[in-house]
Amino acid sequence: MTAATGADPDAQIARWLDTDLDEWTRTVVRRHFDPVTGSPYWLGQLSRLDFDPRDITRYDQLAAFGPFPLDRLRTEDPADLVPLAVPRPLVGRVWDTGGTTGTPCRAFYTPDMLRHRALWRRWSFVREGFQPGRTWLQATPTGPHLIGNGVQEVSELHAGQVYAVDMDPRWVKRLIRTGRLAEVGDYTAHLLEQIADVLEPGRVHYVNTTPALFQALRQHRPELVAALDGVRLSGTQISADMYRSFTTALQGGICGLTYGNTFGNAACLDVERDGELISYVPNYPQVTMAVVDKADRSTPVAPGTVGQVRLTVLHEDLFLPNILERDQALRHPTDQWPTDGVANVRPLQIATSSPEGLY
Amino acid sequence: MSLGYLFGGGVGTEPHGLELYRTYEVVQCWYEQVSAWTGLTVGQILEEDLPTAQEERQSVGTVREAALAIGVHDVLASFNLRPAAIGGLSLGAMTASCLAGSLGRRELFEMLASSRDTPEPPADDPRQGIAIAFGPVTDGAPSHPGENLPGVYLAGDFGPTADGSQRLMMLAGHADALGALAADVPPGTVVPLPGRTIAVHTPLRRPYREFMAPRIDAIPFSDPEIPLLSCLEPKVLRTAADVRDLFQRNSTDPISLVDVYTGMKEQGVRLGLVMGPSIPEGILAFPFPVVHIERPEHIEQALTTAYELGIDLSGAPALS
Repeated sequence: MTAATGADPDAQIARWLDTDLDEWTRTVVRRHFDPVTGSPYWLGQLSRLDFDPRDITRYDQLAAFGPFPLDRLRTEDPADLVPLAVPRPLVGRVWDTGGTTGTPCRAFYTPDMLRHRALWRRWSFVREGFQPGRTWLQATPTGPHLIGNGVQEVSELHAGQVYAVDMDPRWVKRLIRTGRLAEVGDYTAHLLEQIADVLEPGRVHYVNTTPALFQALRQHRPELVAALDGVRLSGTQISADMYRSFTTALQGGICGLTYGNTFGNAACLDVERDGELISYVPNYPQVTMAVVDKADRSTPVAPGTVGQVRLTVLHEDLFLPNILERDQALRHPTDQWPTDGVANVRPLQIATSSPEGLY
Repeated sequence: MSLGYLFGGGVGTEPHGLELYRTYEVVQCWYEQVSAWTGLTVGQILEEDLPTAQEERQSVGTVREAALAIGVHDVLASFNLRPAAIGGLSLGAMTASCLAGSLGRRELFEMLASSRDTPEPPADDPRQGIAIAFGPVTDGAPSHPGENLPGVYLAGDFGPTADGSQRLMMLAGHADALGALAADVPPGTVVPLPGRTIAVHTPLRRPYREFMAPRIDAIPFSDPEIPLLSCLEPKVLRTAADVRDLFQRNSTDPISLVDVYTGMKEQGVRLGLVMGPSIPEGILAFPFPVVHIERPEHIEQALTTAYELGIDLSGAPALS
């Protein structure tokens, strides 16, 4: 237990998991639409809505908002999404989404939001077997990217020492988009040199990085991977083959996984069938996930089938209903969680999809 | 870590590949070349309505699908992306054979164009058709709802659906028999496909096979230069004779996507690129991640996915 998590983090997680989602929805929506202390952005939307959000009593009624227009987060003042109940001037960080396709979306995280994220992160560290008091290398995007906050989260939540290597995902994406793939290789080599420099003395127990970078490390410096006690992978897709190759290379070390982005995260629930099914559950109740039909984003797909991931942020300090992610996944209901999980996350593919197209 | 290229079968009636054609000069040049070889205009290949006569329609449709698939291949090749293994279904098997170096592009397209001369079936022949069918997921040979029914054949096995709950198959045969079967089984179990009047991959295609046999015999096949997976049995085609045999049997023998992707997996494929729209996205279970490439934005998605999965991409030129 540390200052960052406050009193008894496990009890807090238990309380969250015990939360009634409809009641939570009412609390959050009414907070953001309070005429005096609501959030300026949502109060400004009231006249455009054909319903009164304060009448919402159930989570499923959030569908009435339709998909959240993410473009607004590229232009709005992030502070306007935060209820005026949070004292002004706001003190804290604005975090960006990836920004790999242009101007990033931006969100202000209040201290409560960071604490919420940190508690869940600690919960999944413990669940996956990462020991406190160890030494980490965080080789991920930092700067405007929330994943980089992991450096603080690990050190403060899990009493760890943390080395850091910075990666610029926007540069990688730009290189790929412009076909400069040899330079992608050069940049990866540049990152691997820095990672190896930290790992070679043998003082690091755990690495937090992306699957793509860890794959490159495994391919080029397998002995450094074998010497680790574990890796935590965040941010991009991981295939069953990658998972198997990672666990083999780790020689018994932990391979922890998380899925998410600036708006919300999901912890790995299970790895089944030797990596063929990798499932995640969201940081409930502040984050919920649905898997919806790609052609009709208001309709969930059947359990076990593929659709587009739709995220809803129901934080007291940030309300973002029905964000359509650029990912697809299997809908993964589970009796281990209050809401649906997602499994086998991949980048969204919009392509021909009727069985009649088979021939 | 290697790439596999997958080519679907069948003949779509909708225009495909317009965006890729408009975006990439390499695709425009390629379509001009196909036009010169086949006598079809670029518009006919790309987007105009297909002819109404059955065999002519089939011929132009195959040219359309194969042209797009090879166009996608050429765009990827312009970024120095090349497959370590290749395979396809039906027409896609022939396209894959061509890209594996077993026959020239010109020979492939002249063969496809010449199939328009296949005699139309007699007007009083029983109508033919195809249907999509769902069955249980079982090990070994697929079990389908029309087994032992006269006039109904298993024409294709696409393997388990993405959720693993069912096996997706293609039945073909006499249209009346397929219609009767569809009415007899639980709704949605067998779905006849409207407008599909050729019982592909069944013995009913024997006249086509016999008509095309001398044309295929005249093609100078070579040994494939990369592992080429058969869709007719679990097999890597390694010789010119293997490929010729596939071409000869392709029209009458059932096809299996499972044989293709299982073989690719055994060849070390860790990312599959599906060339063109002929294998629908999100419906089937593949043993490795796949990216479907139908439009220009899918090219970037393929490159990004290859990077994320750790496939070497060094040395590629700029996207156009």
